[in-house]
Amino acid sequence: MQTLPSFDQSPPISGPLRFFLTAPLFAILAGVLILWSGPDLFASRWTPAALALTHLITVGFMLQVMLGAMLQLLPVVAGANMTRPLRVATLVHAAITAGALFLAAAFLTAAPLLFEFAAAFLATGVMIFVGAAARALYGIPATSPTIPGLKLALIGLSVTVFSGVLLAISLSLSLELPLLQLTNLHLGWGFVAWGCILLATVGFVVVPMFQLTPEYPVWFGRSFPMAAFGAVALWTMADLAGWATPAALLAGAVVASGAVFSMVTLNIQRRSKRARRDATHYFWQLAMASAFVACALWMVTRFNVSLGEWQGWTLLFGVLLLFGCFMSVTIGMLYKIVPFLVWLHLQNRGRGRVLAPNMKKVLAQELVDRQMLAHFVACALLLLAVLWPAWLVYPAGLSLIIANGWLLRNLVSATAVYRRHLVAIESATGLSPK
Amino acid sequence: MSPTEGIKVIDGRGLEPPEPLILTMDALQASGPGEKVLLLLSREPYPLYRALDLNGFLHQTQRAPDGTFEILSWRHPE
Repeated sequence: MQTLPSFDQSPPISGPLRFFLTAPLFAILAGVLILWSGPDLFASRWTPAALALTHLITVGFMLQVMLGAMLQLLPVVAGANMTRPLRVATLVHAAITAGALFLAAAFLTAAPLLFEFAAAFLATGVMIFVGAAARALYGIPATSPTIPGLKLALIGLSVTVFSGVLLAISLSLSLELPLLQLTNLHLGWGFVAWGCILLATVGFVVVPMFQLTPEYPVWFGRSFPMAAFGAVALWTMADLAGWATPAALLAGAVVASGAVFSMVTLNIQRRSKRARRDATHYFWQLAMASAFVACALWMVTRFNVSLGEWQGWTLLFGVLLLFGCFMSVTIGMLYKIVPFLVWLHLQNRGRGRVLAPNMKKVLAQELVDRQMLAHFVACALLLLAVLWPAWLVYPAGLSLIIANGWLLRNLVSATAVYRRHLVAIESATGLSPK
Repeated sequence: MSPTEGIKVIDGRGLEPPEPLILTMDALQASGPGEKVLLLLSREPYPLYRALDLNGFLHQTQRAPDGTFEILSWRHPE
């Protein structure tokens, strides 16, 4: 391919990379918060520190990577190109980074103004992104389950942020809204209608593609996003209408949808044709196993009254979903997306005259494997810290800092490869790197 | 779209990205006049379409009954 001028016209690499490099910083901040708060953080899911920690991970880490990845994945998996992707990336990244910091600070200080700032920044950032993505997806024919799935996930994100803004405003202005009910709806939309549907939609493409597994069953790919979304929407209506029994049954259906997706994914992962399973495979496996255990735990608490009354189960549920499931799968995807981006952009910049390095050389496997072990240890310690906070909260916080510091180091080393090759391209072609 | 003479077939269904894209572009680069490249994939390769367009190749896609995408590509006739 020595003379091929270009492979692609993806968004500039700095667009998605800024999200990916910021996310580990929020996870490190979450680790620092754990060390600063100590065992009290795990007293209940409602402690200010637990709420701040949750949002450092969901908004600071997960939302950062999910939006950055969507920016890159929309053209690749759906053929949907955003107009002015770099401008969208700059505005959205700045808004959600500021929003996440304000939100964590608001929970820790209970200052009304901080809640208002957080709501304004997060709503603005997400609205810009959803608007740009909706425009890109408009008119794209639904040739695969990916496209309707992405649209549903964007609706899920919008409702999650809307309910979050409502909660922030009601905390700021002391409005008399049903906070517990609104929080549960916020969680349901965030975890299932946004997180799980996006994960499934992307998973339908990337699990078979990168892990060389069989495809997801066609009927499952077509029906899962709509079924999960429908369950969340019906549950919301029943809950808001005060229909206790249908709402309880539909809440079960919402949680079951997460369990079903995790089981189907674990089943197809078992049949991977890869000779040697890589870190992304194990990250996905841990994520799906954690999601399944979290859903099972939720189900058990519906029938086991004493377990349901124990404050700690919601914390276990949260740690399993946030760190075991979403953080694991996010890191696993970063280890595929970032080397691919570096390769793709170097290939373009080299214009066929300077070949891009092999993707496997962009990020050394040993570095990835070691970081994966650090992440697994952090997940285990965080889970155990819920049970024995006095003993394990500090090792858990420290391990989270180490695992995410390592992640940041790995991502920075991949960007260093990009910069080194850009210099080589410049000297070989006389082109100046942009 | 059954393989015929003058068509090089690349089965990308068991390959990890970006291998199918690289193999297809390499094969097109080496192809002579009238020769075509047929890529078989389990999903629609949007980045390949743009790479083909940018580099002056033509393509035609159809979906087999088993869900496989068959992408036939060739040099633009000068």
